[in-house]
Amino acid sequence: MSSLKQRSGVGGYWLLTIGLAVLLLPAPAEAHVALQSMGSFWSGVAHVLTSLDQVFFLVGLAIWTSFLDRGLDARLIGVVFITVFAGVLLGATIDPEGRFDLGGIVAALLTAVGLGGAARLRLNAFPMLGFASVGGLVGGAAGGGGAVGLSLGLFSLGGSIASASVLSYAILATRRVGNEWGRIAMRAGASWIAAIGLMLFALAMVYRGGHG
Amino acid sequence: MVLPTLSHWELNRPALGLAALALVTLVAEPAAAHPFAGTAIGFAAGFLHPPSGLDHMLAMVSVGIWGAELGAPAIWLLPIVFPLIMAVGGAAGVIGVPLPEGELLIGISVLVLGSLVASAQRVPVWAAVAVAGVFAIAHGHAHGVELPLSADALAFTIGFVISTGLLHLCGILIGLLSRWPAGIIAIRTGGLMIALAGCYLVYGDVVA
Repeated sequence: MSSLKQRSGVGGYWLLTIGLAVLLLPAPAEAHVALQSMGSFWSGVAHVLTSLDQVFFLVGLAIWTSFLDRGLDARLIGVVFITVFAGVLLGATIDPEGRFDLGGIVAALLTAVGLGGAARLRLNAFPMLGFASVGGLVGGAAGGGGAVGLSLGLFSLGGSIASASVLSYAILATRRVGNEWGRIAMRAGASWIAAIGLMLFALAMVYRGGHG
Repeated sequence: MVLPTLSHWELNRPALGLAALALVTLVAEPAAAHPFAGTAIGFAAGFLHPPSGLDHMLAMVSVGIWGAELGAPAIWLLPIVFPLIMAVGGAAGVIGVPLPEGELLIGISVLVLGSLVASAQRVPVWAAVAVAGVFAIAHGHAHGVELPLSADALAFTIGFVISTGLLHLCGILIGLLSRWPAGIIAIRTGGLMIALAGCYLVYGDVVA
């Protein structure tokens, strides 16, 4: 009979055939149709990752943090984890229908974090952690409405883990930028975030005023 | 029945891969992965807005080139400050603050920035920021006026801010050619062309 190599080749052939047959099975891909179909935990994760304003806030926070003391990193990530968790719980409990429009506050925070990074504003640990706490709470509360019909604890956990992960990876990335051009690029990126926040703030004001 | 051997398998691997790919593409499943189409459309609309308008594109690239000609700190200060001031103009446009002769100001911005690049005009940093700032307000206002009509305001904003920044980067990269004598000639000629385009835009606005 054939050698081991030959048999593995035949096995590969059959595996490919079976794989193709599986691919041909008509099953609708529901993964992105509604976040609810993903389960509570993953819905919380996806809710953060698909909220561009929240992701930009976290990236902006990482850029700003990279200009500050390295010892602040872990505390900041911890604070964001806790406050996002608490924020989602608060948002889902107090205002599950999203009647309070937090868009203006989110935009203001986005502007502030961008300006802080662009200007390389030096802040001590306490005000920086306070700012991150407000950002985490507001961002979490703004996403609390997404937990309707889901397990609130798991949704909050997913959201807080995703937020802390995004912040961690962004801090890791920004801390590695050592050269002058890289730092300039980061500050330019922070100014983009501030610009986006400013525009969104104006939009939020317009919609709140009923002009939109 | 003759089973394929290893040599068969190795020889036909590219063909098998191609066949597998073809089969996969034939699977007619509904594409349900696009509930964020509004976001994508908004981002694409915002991203394409600056480069698709000759006036915006030339002005943004000129800012980058001029910053590179001026050197530090203008080379990094202008691309950082410009989006911020542009956003102020954009916010004014969004909330409905009128900007008289906004299109004319945009045309003038192309003319002036092109001239500054062509002449390699050296000015103090505060003056460079002031010049860029005035024009940034005009460009931002134009973006802001069109913003509420877009599919997704957040994505549109992100798109046009990133696009503007990338145009600045293009300008800076072009401006770095000024390190070579031939590059200086090329840049100044380019600046002259931009200024001429600005003349055309201003003329068009005045006549219209």
